[in-house]
Amino acid sequence: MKLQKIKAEPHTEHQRTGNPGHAGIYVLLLSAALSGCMTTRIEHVKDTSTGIEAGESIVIFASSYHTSNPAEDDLIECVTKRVQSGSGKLQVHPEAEFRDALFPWLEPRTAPRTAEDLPELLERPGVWEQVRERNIRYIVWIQGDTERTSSGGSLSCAAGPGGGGCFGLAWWENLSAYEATIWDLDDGTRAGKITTNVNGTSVIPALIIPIPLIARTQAAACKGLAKQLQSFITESPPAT
Amino acid sequence: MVAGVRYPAELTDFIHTENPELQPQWTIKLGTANLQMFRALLNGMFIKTIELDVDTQAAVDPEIDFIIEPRLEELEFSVPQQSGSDQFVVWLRYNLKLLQPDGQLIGNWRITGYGQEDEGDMGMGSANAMKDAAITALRDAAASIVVGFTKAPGVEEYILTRIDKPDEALPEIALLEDGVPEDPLAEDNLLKNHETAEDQS
Repeated sequence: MKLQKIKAEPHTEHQRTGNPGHAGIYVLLLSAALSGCMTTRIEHVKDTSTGIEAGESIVIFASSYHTSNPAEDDLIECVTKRVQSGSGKLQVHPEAEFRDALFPWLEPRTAPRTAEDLPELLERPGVWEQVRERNIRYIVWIQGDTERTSSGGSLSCAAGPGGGGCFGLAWWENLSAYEATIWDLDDGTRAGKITTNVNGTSVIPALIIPIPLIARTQAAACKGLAKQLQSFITESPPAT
Repeated sequence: MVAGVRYPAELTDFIHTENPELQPQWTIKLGTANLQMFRALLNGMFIKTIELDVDTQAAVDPEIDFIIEPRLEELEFSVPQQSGSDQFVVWLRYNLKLLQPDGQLIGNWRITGYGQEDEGDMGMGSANAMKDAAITALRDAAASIVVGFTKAPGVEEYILTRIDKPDEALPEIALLEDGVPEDPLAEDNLLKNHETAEDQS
């Protein structure tokens, strides 16, 4: 298996959306002002050429806890939702329905552990028929999590008859690290993988009123992963 | 193969109540979920299943090739405050007693089901997380039964000695026709009494 393409996109993330109304602009400015600092790094490795026909779908699963650290449910929901929107949107088949249809072969205990086990799964009685019936082309397994890597500072608040307030500064750093492995069911092979690392520092400075500047690393990882997943699957020509 | 199935009260009325130290009390009811899961599972695995009265020791119906009597012997769980992780974890230990039609024991088959689930945002969804962990554990046990039945204690030997064409008699590990029950715990009101620690005092 050759590694055909490696793409690295380290950048600092700043939230921007297009065409908001006046109220939206204020909310956006406030939101941008109140966001912590984040650094996003997304890489992908493509093993084979990809592409998807009209009517074909993908299924997104958290990886099995028998083999790795499965991504959180809310991350899976977020990626599923985002992959289905935008210009490169993909059709995503509900994972619970697919898991039920293939029972017992996609349970944590029985699911294929690597792409090398995929042909064995597809050869089991009834499995290929269920895959074809639903027009599933790719299975995406996502592993990883969001962890607090460090924290510090001090913030204290007090209240009395004349009023109250807070003073100090507290901060913490989160790392959201996820890896999506894409299996091509047509070929029975691994198509490649995408890794996303988002590092973010949240700060709450307080001078009477605390102002939280929160770095939403998991949301940024979801956004980056979904966008990369869309282009990974739809951009068919692989590097040679 | 035609299976006779007995569902004892230990399975169909299963309730587990536990009050972990300094934690809220949990009452987990799995009776209806057990029944739904085993009915869907065994109906999918064998040509035919015939439910037998619990008090019937031997199979009355001559069609029956063997009898299965599943029991849920033990449930254990851990909550994030106990394990130090962000996971709710549930273990289920079943014993499937396999009997010949005349009631003679073929073997006892012990199955463990394991399920885990994130506690969710800010730990606010603990009841749902516990329910999802229990559902995953039920599905895990069901998967083990489907995949491992032909290797269960005494099963292969019994079929080989009793039936002319054992290859045809052994259930093929295939997809269950009706899949698994959509939400085996929906009717069960799984978490009946999730009280807070303060409520206990």
